[in-house]
Amino acid sequence: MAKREAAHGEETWRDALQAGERVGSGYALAPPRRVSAGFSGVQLADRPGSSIEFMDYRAYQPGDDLRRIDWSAYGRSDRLMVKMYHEEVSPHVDLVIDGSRSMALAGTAKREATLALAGCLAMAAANSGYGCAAWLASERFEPINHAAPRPSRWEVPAFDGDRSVGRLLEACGPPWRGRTLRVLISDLLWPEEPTMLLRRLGERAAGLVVVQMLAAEDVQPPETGHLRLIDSETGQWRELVVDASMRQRYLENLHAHQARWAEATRAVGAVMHRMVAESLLEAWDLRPLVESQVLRVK
Amino acid sequence: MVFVGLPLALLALTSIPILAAIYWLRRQHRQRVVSSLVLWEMPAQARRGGMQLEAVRAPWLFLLEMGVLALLALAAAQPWVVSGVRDEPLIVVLDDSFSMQAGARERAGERVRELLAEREAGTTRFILAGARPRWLSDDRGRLDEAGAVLEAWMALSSESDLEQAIALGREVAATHTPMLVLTDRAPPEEPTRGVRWEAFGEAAANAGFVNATRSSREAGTSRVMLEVASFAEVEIERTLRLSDGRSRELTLEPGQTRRLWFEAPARESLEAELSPDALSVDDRVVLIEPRLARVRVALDVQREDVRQPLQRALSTMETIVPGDARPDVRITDRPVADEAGATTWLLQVIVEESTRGYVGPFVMDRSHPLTEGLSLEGAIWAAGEGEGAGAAAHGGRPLIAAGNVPLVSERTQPNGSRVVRWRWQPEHSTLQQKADFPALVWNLIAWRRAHLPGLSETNVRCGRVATLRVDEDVETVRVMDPRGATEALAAVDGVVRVEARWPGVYDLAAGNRRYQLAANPLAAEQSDLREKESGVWDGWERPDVTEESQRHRDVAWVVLLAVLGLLGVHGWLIARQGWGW
Repeated sequence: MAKREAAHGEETWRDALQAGERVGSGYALAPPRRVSAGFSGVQLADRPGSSIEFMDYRAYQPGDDLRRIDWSAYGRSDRLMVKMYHEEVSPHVDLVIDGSRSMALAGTAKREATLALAGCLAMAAANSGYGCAAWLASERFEPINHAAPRPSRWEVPAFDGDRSVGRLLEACGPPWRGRTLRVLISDLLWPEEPTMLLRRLGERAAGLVVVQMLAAEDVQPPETGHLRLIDSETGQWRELVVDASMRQRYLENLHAHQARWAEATRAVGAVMHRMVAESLLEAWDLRPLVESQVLRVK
Repeated sequence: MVFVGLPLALLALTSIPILAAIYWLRRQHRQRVVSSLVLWEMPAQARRGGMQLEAVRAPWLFLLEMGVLALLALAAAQPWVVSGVRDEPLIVVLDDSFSMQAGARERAGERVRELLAEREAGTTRFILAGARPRWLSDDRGRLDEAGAVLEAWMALSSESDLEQAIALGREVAATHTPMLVLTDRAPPEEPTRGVRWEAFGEAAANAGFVNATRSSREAGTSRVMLEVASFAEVEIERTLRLSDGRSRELTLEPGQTRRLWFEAPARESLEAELSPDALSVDDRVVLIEPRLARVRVALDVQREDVRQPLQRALSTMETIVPGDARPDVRITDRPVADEAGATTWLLQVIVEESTRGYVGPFVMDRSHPLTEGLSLEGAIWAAGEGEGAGAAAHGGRPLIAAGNVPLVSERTQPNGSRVVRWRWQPEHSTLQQKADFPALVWNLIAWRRAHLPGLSETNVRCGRVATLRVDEDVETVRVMDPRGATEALAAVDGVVRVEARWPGVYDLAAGNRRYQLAANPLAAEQSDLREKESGVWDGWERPDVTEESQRHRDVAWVVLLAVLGLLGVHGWLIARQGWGW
């Protein structure tokens, strides 16, 4: 039964990746035009360069070429650091996919929509000549496209993380290098203040895009009555009598939460979009991304 | 302090735990996994970790429903409170029969005085139980003065329907209002719940008039019949005296009734009196000569074989007079184009040439006065076949028919007069040789007389109603009763009903006409005092409800109002909060 469910689940997200790949083939990534003071100030080029000029260091990630490890830097800092060259710096996009359990909420299309959007953005990046690294933020930042650049061939682990992206960054450190365009796809449903996360996420980034992916039932509270609500990530539960006033207060909290994130993203010069998973998979309306110049139609 | 009249109804309180169980089952929460509890955190609440329970919200709906159930159970238990403000209402039934005159009326009267002295004004109501029970009241709707009650309580009726009086009281009073019956006899069975029966009678030997009639005769005399009955266990002797000076000694065996006949001068009232005994009211009668209204009859018949039988029959009736001008009845065998006038009834005898002899069976409308006492057995009635000529134009209803052949039919004209159509061929009939023939003619005259101005009866029993028919232009009739009191009674459809409550002679004035009516207390069951007794048969739920301490007020209506209030709040909460069940 579990195997059948697992097989069915794999089938659905693989279909979602294929759909995203299909849609993304009609788009290309547009380089961010606005550079905030919070970023490193590096302007990415439109296409890869041929220079092998050393540009920067980043933390070693499993899978990196061992010949790039700067042993001198290791001797100084006791940290494995990898040299980055110009062709790695620009242009490149890091897709950070929130792999926490809430992103795979049963009965919703959040996981499928998230992977589909990631696949779409990956294809769009490829169409623009960008390099692309897709990271699943679950127990750690796990690369999911290093072995297969095409989204339909990604091997995606389970969404079983129980920490927010911010806490994961604190614990593991960012796996990406500098001067990349970073796109975060998450439901953003954690209680920490967004500003610190955004600053860390956008540290030495050429641009930052935040896409909040919510399920339809995240946007509209469940039915009324006596309910025991269980947090999909922490396992905590609350027993509530959900009535009209409770539903109203939920919606007010949601709007306030989204407003905080919108303000924080503006403060750091990032771009934020909100999507409803079921609607995305049904209609594939990417006009907001086009209008905000994240994507452009090929 | 609230008391309950039906404690068993409080068993309904067991519905409250059932309601609680229903709510507990309903509150079993459905589980639902959500992305995060972050958005369910209320701004005023601090974050907490781990397993936790939400504070239970105030169960207003549950409390309201529980309150409704509790109040309904209380209302069903008939709650009442002790009220120190007013006496409990009491209905008293007074036996108005004349047997009460043998001392029970005085003793019961003392009881009435006690009641009215003990109780608050307006809390006691009286019913006078005569032949037709009625409420005693004054302009305020009730009588609070003992004197006024006793004055109205004459106890002169020839009968007393106590059961009907109790039923009359129940029609108006609440179920638990106590009733008190004051009489001189024991109840026929145990009094029903809420009725207390108090008897003040005493068994005694008595003799009295039980019947008295007077009829008119020729030559200015009238015949009087008196019945005297003994209600004693031993032989008794009484002296009978008449107002014309005659007297007679009577010896009566135990339980014997003697019938006495006298001749009396016409047009004079006759009084008869017995020597006094335990009950004096039945020892005197007064009889007035009955004056039957004279009926003017015009006999306008051409055929000899028709006129002679009719003339013979009419000649036996003393109270008819020939009257060609404005007769009360016109009998004719002519075809009448212009039928009866407003005051003339018409008997049209139709002699048909082609006839059949009908031997019956005859079908008669027994509800009509024209057929009273008729049998037509063995009579041959010759008349035409079918409905006869002119039947359609006549359009009357058949009163006597031979199968489907109407023989006598009657129609009421718009002016109120009657037209009777009588199909009869005397040559081939034997009807005129039967006793039914003069009886039919007599019925016609009596029927017409009943519609002429005059009294239906001249001598009646006390408590009965005599009917006086008046002329069309008379609107009221002045009545002076034997006490000398006068009242005006309105005529309704030309009829005035006079209730003869008191024994003696009533004088009636209707326009230019004067009448006299005699009322006598004649009732064997009232004169018989052998079964009278005293005692108390108590059907009250609480002892002596006449005392001031036993006052209570039903408050079930207050409880039900509270239920309605709670239901209103319940509905408002549901509508306001959008709470689902």
